[in-house]
Amino acid sequence: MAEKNSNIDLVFRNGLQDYEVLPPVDEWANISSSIHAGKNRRYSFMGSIAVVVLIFAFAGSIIWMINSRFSEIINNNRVITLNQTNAPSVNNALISSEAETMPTILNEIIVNSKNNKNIPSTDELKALDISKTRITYIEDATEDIAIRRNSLTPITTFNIPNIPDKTSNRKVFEIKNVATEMEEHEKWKFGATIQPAYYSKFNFNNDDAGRDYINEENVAFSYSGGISFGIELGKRLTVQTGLSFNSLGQEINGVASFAGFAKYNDSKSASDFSITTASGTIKSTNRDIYLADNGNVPRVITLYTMDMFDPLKANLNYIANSIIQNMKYIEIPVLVRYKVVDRRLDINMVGGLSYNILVSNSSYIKSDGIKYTIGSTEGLSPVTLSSSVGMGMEYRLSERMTFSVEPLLRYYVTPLGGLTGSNIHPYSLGILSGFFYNF
Amino acid sequence: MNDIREIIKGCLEGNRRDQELLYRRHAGKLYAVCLQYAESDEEARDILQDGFIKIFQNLQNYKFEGSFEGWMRRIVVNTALEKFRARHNLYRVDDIDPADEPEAEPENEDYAGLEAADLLYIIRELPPKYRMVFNLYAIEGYSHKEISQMLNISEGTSKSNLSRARSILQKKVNLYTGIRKSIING
Repeated sequence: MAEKNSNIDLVFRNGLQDYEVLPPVDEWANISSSIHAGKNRRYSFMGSIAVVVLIFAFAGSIIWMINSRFSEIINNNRVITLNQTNAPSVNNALISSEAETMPTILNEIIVNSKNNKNIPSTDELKALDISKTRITYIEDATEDIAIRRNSLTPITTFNIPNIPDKTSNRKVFEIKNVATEMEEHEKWKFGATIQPAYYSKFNFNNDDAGRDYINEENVAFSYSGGISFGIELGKRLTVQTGLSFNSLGQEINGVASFAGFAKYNDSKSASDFSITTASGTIKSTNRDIYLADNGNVPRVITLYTMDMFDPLKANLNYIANSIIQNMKYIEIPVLVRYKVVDRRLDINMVGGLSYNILVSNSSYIKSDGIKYTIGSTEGLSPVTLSSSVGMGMEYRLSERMTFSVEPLLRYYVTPLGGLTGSNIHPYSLGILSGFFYNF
Repeated sequence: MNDIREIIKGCLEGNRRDQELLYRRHAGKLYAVCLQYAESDEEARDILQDGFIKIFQNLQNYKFEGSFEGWMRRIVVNTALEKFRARHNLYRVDDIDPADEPEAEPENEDYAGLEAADLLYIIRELPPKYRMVFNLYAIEGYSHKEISQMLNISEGTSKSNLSRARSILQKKVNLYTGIRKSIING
């Protein structure tokens, strides 16, 4: 057999030389994930929730352990005090009445009874917020008088001249009165809150179209922040309202975008590309951006289909394969907070409703730090109602300042927008945290 | 249009947009190559995926000498060969007695109407060992000596497989062009 190019060889060589077959649409995603495996893996939504819960549980455990350890030391000191033969009677009376008068201990005064140092006067105790102060006598204190404030380490030491009569019972009653007075004053609270959250959606109709759209709409980082007012209706019940700015976002996958389309775009229409999403229809007003379906769900509606216009052949610059959809709301919440555990570290249950007023919405493409604005979403409801439920902790930083951390599940009772045939309700899981001033 | 040097530079720096751009520019042609060699669409996807991973991993070895497309094509063909060897390594493709060679099919000079999609379809109908030799010899331009080393067969087997492949292809091409003519002529 002669080694020459047969005619049939040339037919196939020439015929197939420039032949192209488009690979399946998800092939690049597979290749990309293989290339970047382990470098920048996208965490799943449930994985993120698990991490948040674990961090919260870990932080709670640490605080609880510190709290328990502090209480244990105080309790040990109390035993020493009771065994003191030279301890003044006022101290026993004070300690025995602690449970009723001091629900939260912020300060601890340690008095060295061995060298016969004495407790501060009533006025001095008032200055130290006596309603939250415990006095303990110990034999081997290194300081004459030490104050511990939310810490196991003494932070202030001092000597008090002209000590009043330590055996008088009068001080006990005065301290009780001070405590009652202080508690009555703390009815209002004002603070600032922030809530990072993950946002996603339920589809109650479970129709194919709705499910397919949601599957290609990734959860994205959302946040809210604002000011908050609260009033205590009882020892354990607080009603809270305020004003927050709320930003929701999601990433629409499977929409390829190309820059440089303006010179080919002869249309007089205000919008040449529409992108259907589970929350409404994005209308593109950027005439320089060409958009095409590149996912499992056809969602781009345009006259410039790939049959009519090939962005690669036209040398348009590829930007990305996703669009960010963002909506901003002013939120007016009404939350009810019930204190389940009433200690220095409170445990609260929270629930309530919020009105969300749409103030703006935008859609854009982000690639390599550059933001290409596309347009906005049509069909969004101007006002939506959401409900929230959660459980959290409130930690007393000082007499008047508290810090709260509350994982909160928010469910939108009314949908943000409409997708025909679907019944899609968004939800978010976030951590509401804030500082409050009590007065 | 971004210059290929800039795109390669971006890929080497880990720029995902350049990586995707490189893929989208060349995936169509390379996937067609994969389909020529693969025994199924699934295997073609595997070859394309493994091939592109090798391309990105070895991009720093491309010295801008010769066609970049040709360099990528060689990587994809080598990937296809690896798949073929892995699939066929359980048995050796034995030498065939030249007496078994089929008689040459009369060549038809009229290939009008045969489109690339038809040619790809025809070539994919060949038995794997014939298809591999035909692709490597007729399309890629390797010699029988090189093919014998690539496929672990003798040069005689390579020649014989090529002959059989040509004969089968010629028959199918004649069949296709005959059908097309009869359709056109009513």
